[in-house]
Amino acid sequence: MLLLNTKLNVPPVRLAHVQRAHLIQKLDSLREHKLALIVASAGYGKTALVSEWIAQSSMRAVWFSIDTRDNDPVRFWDYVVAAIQTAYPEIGEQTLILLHEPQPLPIETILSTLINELSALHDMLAIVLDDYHSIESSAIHDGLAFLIEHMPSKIRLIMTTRTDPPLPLARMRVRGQLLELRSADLRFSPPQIEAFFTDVMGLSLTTAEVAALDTRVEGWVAGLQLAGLALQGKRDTAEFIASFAGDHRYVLDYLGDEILDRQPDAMQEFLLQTSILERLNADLCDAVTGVGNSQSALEHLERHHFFVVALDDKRQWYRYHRLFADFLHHRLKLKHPDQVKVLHHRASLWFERSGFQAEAISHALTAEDNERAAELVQGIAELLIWRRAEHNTLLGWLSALPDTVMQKYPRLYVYHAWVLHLINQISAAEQRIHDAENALKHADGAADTLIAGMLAAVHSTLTGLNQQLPETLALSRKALELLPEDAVSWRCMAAINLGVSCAYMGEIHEAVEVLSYAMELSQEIGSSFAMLSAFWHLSSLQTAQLALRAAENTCRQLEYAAQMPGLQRFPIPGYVALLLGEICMERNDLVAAERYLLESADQINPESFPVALLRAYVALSRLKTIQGDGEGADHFLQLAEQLERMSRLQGRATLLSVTRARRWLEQGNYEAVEKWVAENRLGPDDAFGYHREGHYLLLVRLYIAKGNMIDQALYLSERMVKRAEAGQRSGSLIRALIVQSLAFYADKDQQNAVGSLVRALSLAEPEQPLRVFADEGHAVAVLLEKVAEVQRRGQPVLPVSADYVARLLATMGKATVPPSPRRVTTGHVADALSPRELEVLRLLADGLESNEIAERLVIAVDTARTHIKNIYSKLDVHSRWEAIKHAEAYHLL
Amino acid sequence: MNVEIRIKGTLKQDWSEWLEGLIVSNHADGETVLSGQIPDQSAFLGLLNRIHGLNLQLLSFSQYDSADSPNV
Repeated sequence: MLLLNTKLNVPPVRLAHVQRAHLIQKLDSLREHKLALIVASAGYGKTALVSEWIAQSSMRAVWFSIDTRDNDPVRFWDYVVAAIQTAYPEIGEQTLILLHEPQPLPIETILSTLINELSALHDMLAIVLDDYHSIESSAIHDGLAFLIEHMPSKIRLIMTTRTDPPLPLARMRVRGQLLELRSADLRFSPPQIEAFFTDVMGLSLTTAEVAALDTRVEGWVAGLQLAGLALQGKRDTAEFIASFAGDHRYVLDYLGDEILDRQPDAMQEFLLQTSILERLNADLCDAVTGVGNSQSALEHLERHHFFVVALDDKRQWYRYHRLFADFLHHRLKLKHPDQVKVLHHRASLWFERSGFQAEAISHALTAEDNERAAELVQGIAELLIWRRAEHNTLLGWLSALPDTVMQKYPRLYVYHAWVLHLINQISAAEQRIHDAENALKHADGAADTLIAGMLAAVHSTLTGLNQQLPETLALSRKALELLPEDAVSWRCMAAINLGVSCAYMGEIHEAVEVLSYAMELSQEIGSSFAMLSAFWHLSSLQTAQLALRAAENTCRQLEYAAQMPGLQRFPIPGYVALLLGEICMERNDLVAAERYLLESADQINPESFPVALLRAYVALSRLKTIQGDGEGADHFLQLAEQLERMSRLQGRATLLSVTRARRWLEQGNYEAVEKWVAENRLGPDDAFGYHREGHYLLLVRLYIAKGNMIDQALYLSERMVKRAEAGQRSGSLIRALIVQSLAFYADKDQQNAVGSLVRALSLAEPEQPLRVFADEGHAVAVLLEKVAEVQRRGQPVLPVSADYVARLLATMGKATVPPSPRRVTTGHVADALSPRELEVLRLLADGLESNEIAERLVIAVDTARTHIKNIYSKLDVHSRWEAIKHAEAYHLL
Repeated sequence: MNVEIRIKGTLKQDWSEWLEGLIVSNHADGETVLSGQIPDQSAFLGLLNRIHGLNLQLLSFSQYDSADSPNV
């Protein structure tokens, strides 16, 4: 929607006006406060005072004239930013991008960006919010309170309003942050009244007359102006003032009619008919009145102090003083009740013709010209939804349209459902889906394919929110079938819904295809939200499936798209860094991984995307584990847990839950892992979805680690291998094969262990992931040695290169597992083990059995067993696996 | 809800429509009483805002549920 520049102009100061030096001086102390609140009823000269102050103040000021149409938070802040840009064009670009996101972000996120941008200012800037009483939206009040609370040091607010705004005024008063000018301050004093009549109205009154007027209107500026107008051309000033002063009638009743009636008929009609307009220009007035020469009428009114205010220096746009407009409108309704609708209709036509759609719609609705309003809303709805994000404005219009009209425009139901969903009114949105379905039953034609497609797309979003996967799949597929190619935004919505539900159900290949398509579409429409969600799901999927090059490519694509000219520049705060960090970590480039991950944790906003930040913390915790920094690992896990508690993720953070359990397992804290298994009700025979694979991989590892549940480990890992094969998920298959290999190894079935591992290796080799193997610890290293041995022999030929195996072994050589806190220090343990025991330990780590060790060291088998027993007891461990882990941790090997 | 609002000064009867259709009665002491039925508290606040917007001076107001007597 177009912003009206006239709303951003500082109203010109009239040449002849009464100076209110003491008030100006008071306003000058604004520097020491945060907010100047100028609060009084209509007609106390609030606006005039502020524009006069601006004209002579050294502080820079920008202006926003508020009206009731600005109750949409997006529109409101849009104007605030536009006002700021009249002084600093470079400020607010980032804020506007966030503001116009088709999916609303928390207002605090948006305003924090604005506050950041404003913090760069060197000079003081006053932002004037004129007529703030027009705002009823609590979302705007809340946002303003947030802004005031976090106001950059150089920013000041000036607010004119008829009523006290719902802000924490008492607190600000106590803290000395509030500068208040109220009606008592704004009233004209007797000398000012005299100056007003002499200098402004060109009348000369006696002191007694001034006193009489003062008593009657109590310094009310509008009342004085009315009196001045009534007095003009009157011969007997004294008599008029005497009778006015002696009367009880409401000032506007007493003087308004008198002033109006004295005007020529044509001027009377002009005033009444144009009173329906919130702003006027000559062309518009001509259209509404059906008479020419409105320009001279407007200039005449301004010259004669007829409550007409110029909105710009060129004398193009004017508005009536609101009090006077109310009075005129009231008279219009009494005198020509039948004309009101016609006038609004004419105004609506003019605004439409001139490209001011919002005003055209308002006037059409007031004229009860509902079909026209519906047409206009239909014409502009997509712009509001996809480009401007003015959902509340759209919602207001749609709610105003009667159902009988909506039925004829089923597309409006779809829009209504969409915006209701955006403000979390889900059941109301579902009702609108219903209404649209019914309306479509009674219609036919090609256009309805489009509407049915839009409907299915919105519906699939709603079912997606409710986690109704089969419905979401069906509806989003249907939407993609029905929607024509050029309905890009809707197709994009449907494609994301389809891709996400496919991914969730483990339909990896379709998910990748559809999400890649959604990414293309999102670039076409330039929607950063759509692009980010498609990117997020696609790259997450690719990383999880170890398609590292494809994932990296997706990241690059997003970075590239963000720089493309024509596409609105949007922030990709930390998401790309997160994915790149994960990819680097998998490739064991730990330095780069750490840099990326810290960058992402720094940039991702916890309010707008807690899941992503949580993932960054989890990745950092894994990284610290790899680096052997146990404290660091726990620190990041704690951050992730805090975030989980603070945001609404409670219990939904699968990733965190698995990572925590894996850390317990690595620390040998089986009790905690078993408790976790019980809480999550994990068993080897469960049916489970793709998104819970991590849980079951860990269950296999637990079975193996405990040493007495190898059968379950073999059984469950075989199931997981089969599932991954059936779903054609290579990453899932690689992980399942690795744990299967470990299970075979624990079962002393070395041949099958090597077999599964070689399968995993050959699947993985093209993408060269390293950590997925390395993180499994020593057993994998032992098996890799076996693989390398076979390769050295050259018999049989294995489907994996010696290079890759060597790289993996090198990776593991560097890797360490952190010492767990309850163990003794390195030096102590090393001292505790005899040189012979150390020798035995190294052979144990090489995978030798006790008889093999005995053979190698030329000792009795029983002696070897005794050494092993002593080693276990000195290290305080119970299995070979644990012994080796600790040996690794203490660098004993 | 039924309301009764007293304001300072006398007001023309024809403001009634502007003021939620309340009955406008002028009293000899130079005060005006607006009385009648309005839908709810929101309407009441809107009404007060309109009165305030005209710079009329509010003296008192009361609200009562049935048609009997106002309780201030």
